Amino acid sequence: MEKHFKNKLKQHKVDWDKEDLLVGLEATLSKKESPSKWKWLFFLLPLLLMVTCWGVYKNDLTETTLGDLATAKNIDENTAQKEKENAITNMGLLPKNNTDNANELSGHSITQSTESVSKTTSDTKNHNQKKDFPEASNYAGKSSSTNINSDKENKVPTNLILNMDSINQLATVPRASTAIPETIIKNTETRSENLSTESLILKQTLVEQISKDKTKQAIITRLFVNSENFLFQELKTDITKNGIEVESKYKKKDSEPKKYTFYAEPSFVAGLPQRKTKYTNSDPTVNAQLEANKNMETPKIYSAISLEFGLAIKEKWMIQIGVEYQGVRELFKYDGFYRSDTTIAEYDKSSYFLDAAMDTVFFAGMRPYIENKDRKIRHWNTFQYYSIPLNIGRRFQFNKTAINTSVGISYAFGHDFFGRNNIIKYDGTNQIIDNTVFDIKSRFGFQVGIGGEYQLSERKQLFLKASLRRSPTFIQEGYEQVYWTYSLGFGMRYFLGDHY
Amino acid sequence: MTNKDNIRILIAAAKKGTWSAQKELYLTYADDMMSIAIRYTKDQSAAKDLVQDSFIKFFEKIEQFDIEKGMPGPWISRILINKALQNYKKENRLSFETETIFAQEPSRETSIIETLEAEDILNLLQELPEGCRVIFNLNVVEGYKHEEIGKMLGITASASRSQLTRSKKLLRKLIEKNIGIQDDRKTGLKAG
Repeated sequence: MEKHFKNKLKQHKVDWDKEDLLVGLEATLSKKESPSKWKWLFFLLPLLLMVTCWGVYKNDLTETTLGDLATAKNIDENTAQKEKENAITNMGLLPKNNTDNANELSGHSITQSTESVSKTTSDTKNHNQKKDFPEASNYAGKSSSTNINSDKENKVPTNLILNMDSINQLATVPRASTAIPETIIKNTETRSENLSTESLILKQTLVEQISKDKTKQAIITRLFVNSENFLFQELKTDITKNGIEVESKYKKKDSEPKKYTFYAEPSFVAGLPQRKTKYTNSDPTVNAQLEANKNMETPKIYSAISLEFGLAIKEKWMIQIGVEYQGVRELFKYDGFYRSDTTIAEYDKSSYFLDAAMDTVFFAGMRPYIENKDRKIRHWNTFQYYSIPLNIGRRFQFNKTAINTSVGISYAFGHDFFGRNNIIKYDGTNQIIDNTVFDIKSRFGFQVGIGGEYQLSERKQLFLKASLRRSPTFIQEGYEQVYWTYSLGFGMRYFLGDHY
Repeated sequence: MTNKDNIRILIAAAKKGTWSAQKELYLTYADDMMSIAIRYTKDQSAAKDLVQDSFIKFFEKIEQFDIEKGMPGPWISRILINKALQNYKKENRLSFETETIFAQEPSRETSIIETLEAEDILNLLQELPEGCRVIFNLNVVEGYKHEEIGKMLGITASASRSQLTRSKKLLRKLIEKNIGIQDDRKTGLKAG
């Protein structure tokens, strides 16, 4: 019974319309396929976006604060100069037409009102005797507000007003019993025509505030580096004397590297690829044929473009991830047999044909013909894949240059092949076909590299890197292929946060 | 090109999500799958659903399929059977009633069994309790061993054996009842 039942049931064909299910099947499959191909991007993009936003946010925070203070350097020189000339003339220190000395004042950025300058001489003498400022804060506040009013009347640019506000904020902290460092007094004496009492007060206030507040210290320290301004140079000297280090931003070796720094790294890579093929067909004849025909395709050029984001740890170790496009161009050569369209050609020799009466008719002139040609066909194939590289690097810093070594893996999440391929059939014949479908066997590749870096600026590094790369493993009917590439790449590293 | 070459190309294209290749694969194997599905379901409508679900699952998992290890037919049928068993379990339709099997009845040779066509057999199977039918299908038709069936259904191998015996006994009764074979006629059914 079992045997009979089995045979009957196995042979049984149900009478049904299988096309019924096609619509539902297509709808279901089309819904499910689209996200799977790019699912990695959905994971990666938000991650990259978050890293970028965080870096940009940190960057903006630093730049904004510096920018506010740095406007001091950019005060309209003409406006300030004019005010100084007027003030000095009113004091009777300079003749109206003598502007040479007054020009020396243009180095500092803080404008003076007539009122504040008129008090300069007596106040300075007083300071020299007492070496303190019993009403310094009130005085500073008063003179500053006077300045702002005066500035408004003279249509001083907005950045000047903002700058004065920023400095006023620093200057409003009471510090009545604080003594002025001798350096300031000394400078005041030697350049008394240049420095107002107000400047001294502000300077003193800044020195104290900077000493107390680490954030302000960092900000002002940065400002000094950028500024050749006389007042800031004076302040720099004083702050240094107060035990605060004012370092050059480029003297990296003297400063402690930041523990974590984020960066973005666009790069371009070009190289020479080599293809390694492994034949997996069960038929050895086909394998032999594939081997014999392997020189039809020669990989010629490898190129890659990538955008990676990374984390530098103490500027020595680097870990980075990104998105990379990689492409291999292969030259595909084969002998083709081409038959032309019907062509009209002029014959210089007579031609003939047999007419219906079997008479031979000779003629000369034009005649249509079809030309057959054997040609060597050259075609460029493109193999491209998209991957997510994950690299770990180690840097060895030498002043502005560095050596960088790296190793990493890459995960291919998509690939395409555009071109022609030679298909060996089981009957021994072959066929040239367009745009073969390649499958991917292993999505993982890896790369190792070594290169040099050059520090362009605080945030920018140029790098050049030689690397050896292994592509994912692709499979076609009966064989697997992998590309090994010796490549040279260059790119720029841009630090997103507070780098030094 | 051989059939295997064609299937290989279709599989490669289907892995890329090409609908025309998926459709071709479906049309190639749909009839075979329907033949199996109808044995595990009550009617053709349920069998159609089972076939569709099985093909969807097949195309979802096609990346894991390696044609060098075999053709897709057995793979899809395994998917289909698993799907059918899942449905049984989900709906708690599989009950394995214990029934004492007494001494085997004497085998009665008859040619009546040989006259049964596939449709008749299917109708007979439909009348079996679902647990019995599934085990009969898995063991007799698909060729699974009792140990494998036990793992698939979460029962012991001996329970599978006893259910098979029961299903054969029931089938014999059904044949006698439906076709009007008298007890004194030989049916050729052999239990065990």
